[in-house]
Amino acid sequence: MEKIARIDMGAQGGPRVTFEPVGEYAGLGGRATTSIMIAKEVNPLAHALGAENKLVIAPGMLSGSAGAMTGRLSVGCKSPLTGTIKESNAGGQAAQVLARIGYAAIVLEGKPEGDDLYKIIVSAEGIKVEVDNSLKLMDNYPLVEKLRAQYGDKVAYMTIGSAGERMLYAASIACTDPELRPTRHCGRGGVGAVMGSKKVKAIILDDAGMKMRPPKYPDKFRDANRKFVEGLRKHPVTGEGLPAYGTNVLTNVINEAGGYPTRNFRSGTFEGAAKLSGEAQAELEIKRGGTATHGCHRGCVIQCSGIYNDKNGNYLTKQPEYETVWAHGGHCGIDDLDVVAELDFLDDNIGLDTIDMGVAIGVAMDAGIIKFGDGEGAIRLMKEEVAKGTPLGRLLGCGAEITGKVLGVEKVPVVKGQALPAYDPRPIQGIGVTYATTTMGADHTAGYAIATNILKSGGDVDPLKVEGQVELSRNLQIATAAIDSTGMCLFIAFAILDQPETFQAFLDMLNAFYGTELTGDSVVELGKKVLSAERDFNARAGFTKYHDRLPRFFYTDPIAPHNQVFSVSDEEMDQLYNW
Amino acid sequence: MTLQKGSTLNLTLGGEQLSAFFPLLQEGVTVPARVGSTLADFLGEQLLLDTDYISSRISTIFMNNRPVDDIKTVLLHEGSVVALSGAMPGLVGATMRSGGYYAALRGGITYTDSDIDTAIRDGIIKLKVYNLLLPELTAPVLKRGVVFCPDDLLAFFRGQDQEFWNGCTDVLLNQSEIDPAELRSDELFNRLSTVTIQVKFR
Ligand code: SF4
Repeated sequence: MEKIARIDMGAQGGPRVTFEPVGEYAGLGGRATTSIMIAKEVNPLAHALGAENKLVIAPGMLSGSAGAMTGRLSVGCKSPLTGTIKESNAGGQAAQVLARIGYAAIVLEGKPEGDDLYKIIVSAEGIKVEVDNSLKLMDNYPLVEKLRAQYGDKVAYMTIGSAGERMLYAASIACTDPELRPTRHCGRGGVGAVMGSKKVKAIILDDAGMKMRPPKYPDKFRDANRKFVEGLRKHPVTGEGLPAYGTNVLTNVINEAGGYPTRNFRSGTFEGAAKLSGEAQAELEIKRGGTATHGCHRGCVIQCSGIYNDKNGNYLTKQPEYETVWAHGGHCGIDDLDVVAELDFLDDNIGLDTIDMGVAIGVAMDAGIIKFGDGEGAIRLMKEEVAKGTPLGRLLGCGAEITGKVLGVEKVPVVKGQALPAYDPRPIQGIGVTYATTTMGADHTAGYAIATNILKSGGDVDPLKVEGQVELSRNLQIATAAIDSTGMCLFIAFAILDQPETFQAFLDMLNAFYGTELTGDSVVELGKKVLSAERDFNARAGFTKYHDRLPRFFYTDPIAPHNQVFSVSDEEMDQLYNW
Repeated sequence: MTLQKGSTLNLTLGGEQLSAFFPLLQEGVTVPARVGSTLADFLGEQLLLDTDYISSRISTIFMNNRPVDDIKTVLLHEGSVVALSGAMPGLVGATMRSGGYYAALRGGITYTDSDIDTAIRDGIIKLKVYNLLLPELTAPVLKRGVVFCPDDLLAFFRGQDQEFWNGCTDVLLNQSEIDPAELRSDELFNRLSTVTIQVKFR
């Protein structure tokens, strides 16, 4: 990963590719690379779909190595959905392949004139940018099939569906999984619309002839990786819960806690939750000849994903995640896993963020477009409106905020324009702090890296005191920014939280690979550096502390069963970035 | 034959039939309990679970929709709803853990017992079991007994496939042997208020 490729899509005479050494971006990866580059190089006042915006695609620090769990790919830009900086990451094979070809980042710049659509082929021989108008308005599954006929099965594909081409604000970028299905999405923030604005339909990553990235100290790296994998395997979450049920194991528990937002955040419990649960989903998957345990990229040892077959035993989609099952399920009053799975497939195929899309449909239900619980209606909206690019479909595909505004809905669950994920911040107030203050808009993964007790990134706090919530949220966001930079899947955080030796193995992997002497403190510093760059970009884009707030109804409308409102004070929230 | 109030049904089933009960346990089953005793007492002395098992595997516990931090201080009440789960992923999963590092993030809904009810007596509670604990706790819960209203029990038996019935042997109603086929007949469940079912898995 010693070079950066810049592709100026708007260059005179057609797209122009230039190469440069990593330079000032050396030693970074993933989110650190995308966010620091965007903060430095993009005018924060630029229009997200304009020529001034850039789309940075970066593998993690350890991607392309033999290290376990290292296959997350970060994509960064100014977000059309939120207007803030955005980093959106996904699994799939792309990060591993891109890193092995040797790129620390591929940067799409400028914007071409005219209607031509492009594909980019990245290989050891170099980078080719070709016009291919035969791909126009194709959705992801048929698109990848068509590309496979030409480029084969030994490559990784990054694509946008019709939503990205139409520049819908909830459009995603799909990355293919080991079976070459476009199931892994950089979903949040409309990154697919930015790729669409640059008229890039597909990126084909071909690492033929390239080897795994070698560590500086191979023996130490192998040893650390072995201990790291052992740690993941022995922990009940990463070794048992996630492999058996995936993230959807949360449905029953969050519902039990009264924190499962139901029918557009009107209640904290859903009577149909057991039917949507990870337990029910895993049983159905196995019964229909799919699987409840599957990795989104080679080298994943947790394998939180699965294969969801239809009633006839034919592949329908990958195992929908908890947030997807919630957004298309409980949020819309739908309790049928087959309906949710079909909507998940449609999101992946059209190329949309499952959270913003599901929340937008729920908001449309609140507006009376269809009724809560109408699964067939939700599928019809996706197939007949969003996929066809009708005016209603385009507004739904632009996410919950725009849908709510156009349809006159008062209670629209978004922060900085991005839909809230599957936890109600009224009973679980600490989550609300993170939703409100993250640099990305409401984002559950912003505070996912639950390793802060070891990192102690904000100093020691007493987590059993309610006042500890802001400190905890701060620490979580710092730790998450750091892990997002390594290319490691965030789910490693559980083993790191409980097992100091697994955290040490994680640090040892980084140090053996790069020949560095990183400590927990260095990880904290990296996280702070990333968050500071993001925060600085947002400030220059016009965001103030007053944007770090939840929608008003969370402060005024209590929710059953706990009948609580969100009550963390503005003053407390404003302390989050004081470090 | 008709069942009488307070009847007991004893079944012996094959181990493969354990999962037939998972949906019931997820939705919640009514179990006898000594109300007034602590949750720790219920799990250890009444369900007969090992202390190490409780501390290492049952990492997330709810009482009436509220996460519990210390099972030794929480008292059972008549009709309490107790839910048991293994370790959960995600920040929110970690937040819900009993006595976990992130408990502050859900401080407002943490269970606190304001009703000091020390009179210990026989009663019933609703018990829910989730995820990794289903294969581990279904047998001990069913061995001790689950209370059903006859309609629900009949619906459950009627929903079972042939494999279930192939594995079903030794059906005793109030200690007298009956034919397993009778468990799917209206007649058997007609005039009854409650049945306690106890299951032994081979
Ligand atoms: S744990 Fe899940 S999300 Fe993470 S790398 Fe593995 S399959 Fe992908």
